[in-house]
Amino acid sequence: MSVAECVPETALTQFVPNGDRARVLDRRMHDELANSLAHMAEASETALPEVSKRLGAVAQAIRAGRRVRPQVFRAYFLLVQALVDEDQSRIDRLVRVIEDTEDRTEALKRTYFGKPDADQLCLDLIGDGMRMAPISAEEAEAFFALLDEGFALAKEGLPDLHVEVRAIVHEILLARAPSGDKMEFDGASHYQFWGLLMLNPKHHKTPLAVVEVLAHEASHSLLFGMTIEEPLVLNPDSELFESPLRLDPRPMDGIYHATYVSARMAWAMETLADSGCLSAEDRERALEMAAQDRQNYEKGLSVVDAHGRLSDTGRIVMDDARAWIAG
Amino acid sequence: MAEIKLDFNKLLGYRLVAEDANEALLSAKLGDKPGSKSLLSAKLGDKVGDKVGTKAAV
Repeated sequence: MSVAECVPETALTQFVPNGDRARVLDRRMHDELANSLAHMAEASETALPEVSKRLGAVAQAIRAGRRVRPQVFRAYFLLVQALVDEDQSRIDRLVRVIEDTEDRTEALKRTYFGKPDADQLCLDLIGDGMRMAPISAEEAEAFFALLDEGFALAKEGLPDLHVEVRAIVHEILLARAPSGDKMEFDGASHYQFWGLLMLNPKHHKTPLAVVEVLAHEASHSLLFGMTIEEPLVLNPDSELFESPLRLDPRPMDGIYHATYVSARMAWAMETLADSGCLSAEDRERALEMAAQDRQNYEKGLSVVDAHGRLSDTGRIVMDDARAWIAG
Repeated sequence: MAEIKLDFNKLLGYRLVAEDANEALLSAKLGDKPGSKSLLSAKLGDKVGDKVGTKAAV
C-alpha cells in the first residue's frame, strides 16, 4: 500500500499531530529498512553469500510485518559502514544483532541507564559522544509513575498528540549527564534509533512538563520520519549558527529542528490550556511555557530565514509551522 | 573478499548524504585507511548531541 493510500500527501507534512500519519511514517521507515537490507543482500551476494542470504531473510520478514526495535535500525546503519570497511567480524556481529534482537512489542518499553538490559544501548549512544550517568531503580520508578501521569494527561487533553507519540515512540530510556558536567540534556532522539526517546528525569517534574517534553522529542522523531528522500536543509554541516535551545552553536539542521519543535511545544501547551483538563494554576503555567516556546521559535526562525537553504520538504514542513504560529 | 558495491541512494538515511558518503569513500580509497572516515554526517545525528534539546547545567 502506498503512503498516499493511507493519508493524503498534504497530511504527511501537516503541522498538527495526526495519528494516522504517524503510523504511516513508522511503516515507511520499516519499508525503507527492508529495502535497504535487500539492497545490501544483493550487493553482498558474491562476496558474502551467507550474509546475503540472512539479510534477505530479514528484509522479507520486515516486509511481512515484523516490527523491529531501535537497536536494529542502529545496527543497520553500522552494518553499512562495516560492509564498506570489509570488516568481517563487525559484519557478523551486526547481522546477528539484526537477526536476533527481539521484536518490538505494542507495550511501551521503559528502561534506564544502570539497568543491565539497557547498558548496550546506552554505551552505543555514549560512543556517539554523549556522557551519561546511571539512574537508580527508585528514581526510575518514580519517573515512570510521572510519565504515566503525563501520558494520561496527553490522552485526555491532546488525544491526537498521544496517538502520534505512541505510534512513533516505542522505547523510553532514562539517563542524565554526570554530575558537574557543563552541558546537560533534557531529552534526546536520534535518526539512527527509530522508535527510541531518551529523557532526563531531572528536568521534568510535573505531568505538564512531561507532556511538553513528549511533544518536543516526538517532534524530532516526526521530522526524522519526514526526512526519507531528501534532507530538510541543504547547508553544509560545517556551518554553525546560534541555537534557540542550546548554548553551543549548531548546524542548520539542528537549528531547523529546534525551531520546529519549539512551535510544536507551543501548540501542545496552548491546546492543553484550552482543553479544560488543567487546573487554573496549571493552565497559567502552560501558557507561560507556550510563551517561552514561541520566543524560542521566533529566535530560531530568524536564523533559518536568514541563513537556511531549505529543501522542498524542509520548506513545506516549516511553512505549515509558520502558518499555525501566525494563526 | 570480493568488493561490495553499495548504492547509497538505495539505503535509508545514507540517501540523504549520498554525495558526502561517496566523497568520503572516494577519499578513503585514495589514500586514507579504508573506513577511517565516517560516511554519516551530522544530518543523521552521527553524534547524538546533534539531536539533543539541551539546557545549560545549573
